[in-house]
Amino acid sequence: MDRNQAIVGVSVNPFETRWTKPGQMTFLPNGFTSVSELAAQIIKDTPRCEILGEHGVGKSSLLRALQSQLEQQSISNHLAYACGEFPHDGPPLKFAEVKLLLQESDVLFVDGFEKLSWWTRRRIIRYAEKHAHSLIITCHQTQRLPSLVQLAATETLVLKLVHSLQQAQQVEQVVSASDVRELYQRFGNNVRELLFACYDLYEQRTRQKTSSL
Amino acid sequence: MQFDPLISIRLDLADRAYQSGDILECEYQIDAVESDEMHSVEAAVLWYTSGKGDEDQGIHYYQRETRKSRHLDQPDLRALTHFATTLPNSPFSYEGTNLKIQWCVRVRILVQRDGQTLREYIHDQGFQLQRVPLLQS
Amino acid sequence: MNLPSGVASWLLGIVILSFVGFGIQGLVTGLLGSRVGDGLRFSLTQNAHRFDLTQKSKAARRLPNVPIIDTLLMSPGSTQPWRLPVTTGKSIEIMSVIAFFATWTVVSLFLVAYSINQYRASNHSGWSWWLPTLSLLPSIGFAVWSGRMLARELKNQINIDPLIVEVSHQPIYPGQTIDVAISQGGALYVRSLRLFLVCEEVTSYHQGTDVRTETLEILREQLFVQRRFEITSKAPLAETFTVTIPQDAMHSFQSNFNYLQWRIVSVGRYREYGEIRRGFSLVVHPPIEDVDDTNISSGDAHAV
Repeated sequence: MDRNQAIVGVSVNPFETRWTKPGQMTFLPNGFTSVSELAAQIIKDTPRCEILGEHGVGKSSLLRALQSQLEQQSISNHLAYACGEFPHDGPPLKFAEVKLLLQESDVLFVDGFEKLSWWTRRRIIRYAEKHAHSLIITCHQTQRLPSLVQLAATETLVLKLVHSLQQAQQVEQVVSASDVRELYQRFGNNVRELLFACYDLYEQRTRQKTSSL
Repeated sequence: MQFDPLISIRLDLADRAYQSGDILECEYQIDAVESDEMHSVEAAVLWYTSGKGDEDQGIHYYQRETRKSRHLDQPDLRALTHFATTLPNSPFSYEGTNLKIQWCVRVRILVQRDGQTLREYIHDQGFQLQRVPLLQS
Repeated sequence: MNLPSGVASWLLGIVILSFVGFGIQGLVTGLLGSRVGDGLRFSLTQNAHRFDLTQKSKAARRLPNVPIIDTLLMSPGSTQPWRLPVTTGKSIEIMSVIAFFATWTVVSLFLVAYSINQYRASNHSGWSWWLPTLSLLPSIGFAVWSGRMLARELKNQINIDPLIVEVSHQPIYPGQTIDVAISQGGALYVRSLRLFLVCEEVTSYHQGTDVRTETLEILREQLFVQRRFEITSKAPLAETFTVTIPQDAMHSFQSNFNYLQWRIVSVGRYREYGEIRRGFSLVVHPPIEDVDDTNISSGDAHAV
């Protein structure tokens, strides 16, 4: 989806949830994960595998990036959300829906797989294995599928992420690299909390700047 | 090389600062796309929240046109189109700390070019509805 | 007791119809809240008011996303026209403690009755005492512990008459000055009682299992303070003061995940009871003149 906005006189905080919610941020490779390599692996192997990682490390963004790569190579695929697209609190996917999606597409991505019931998860995996369908899922804890990639938030990645968020909104780099390092020490792998802290910091500093002018 | 469609939106007030009960008049048109590539056009006047919470949205005015629903004498969805609506009493535009409320006119088009899947393009033109600045406590 | 067949049929029919009614309501609510396209949802909500038997939807259409003051449910005050509802208190905690206490009391009683029954049935021989003892001790322990917690909570609630806050106007508008009357009875020594006008932004974020709600206070203005005084049955607390809502204040706002709310917050410190905080909700409306509630839109798009 392409969206352009012309907002009248409203200061934009680049860490608002509309820019940082799952799937909104561009996936940033962290040195050992290349999207095109992963896509090639999916096309070659038709795997049933999982993408592991904590909140906010980029699982949903990676799925979207993979989807885009597969579309470019004319591989039919579908991205399903375990509990509704936004804000991820809709009714859970049913097995029958997933079965249909597996039949209709070459590759099925399921975001938030562990939100489904244990029984639905087992049925989906068994069905995909039995009929050799390609199934890629995201989860916080392993579902005992082979791991496609395990994402972790390194300090370098978080620095790139914060920089790119501010750059995307064409604002000054109000949250600096040293701020990010300090926040990374505090929050570690919890990128979601780190981004909320960046929001507060950005808001506080821009208001201080405005009131001092 | 193909250009993305260009959506132009014009509001009647130059400073785009409206009051409750004002009539907002809007014109929009689409360029850089062929007429037969246009699938549908939607225009809406809506508010949405941004900040630290999940986004909420409220639609005040909405219209949708497809190739079939267009007037036979003017079937081109790209043509300059006009609509007007009386703005509601609430919510006001608001610039808070964790919460912001913004109003906009949103035009969304669905385009299908040769050999490609349907793609959507969205353009927003923001305006203020009796903007309220942050309280200083 | 056997009901006459006609009555039984009617009762069954009423029960079934009520379930059908709930189901239809749930379906409509679900449709409105589901991820239908913007256009369909817009159309549904525009037509929903036709089926509304109360005036609530009319008020909601006049002031979208502003909390409605339900005049049928608002309490009238004794010194001022409106008594404000309490928005914070410990009602949920107390209910939880009551439920916990009731559960473990029932479990304990059942285990005692079972143990006695087993003892009698075995004619005092071969009675296994260890199982009832092991299960009785923790369950009675839980019941006693929760009972003491409940007594402590109820003591605060029962022994302290609630603070009552009444206002001269509802809803309120930015720039408006209103009278606020507070009263409290009972027998208390008050170390300090302070009241504040508070405006808060409440934002909720949900992403699957990641759920957080943040409340940010953007305005806190002290309205009233009094220290070291006694409340008695002959001399209850009764004070009146004025509150002015800032001229450029934002109106109350509510949506699914975001709220802007105005409240009067009381912070009382009492000898023997510690600190007790209560919130009383205010509704601030946008400063507009009454306008016709029918929206005028010329929506037939036409090419210019």
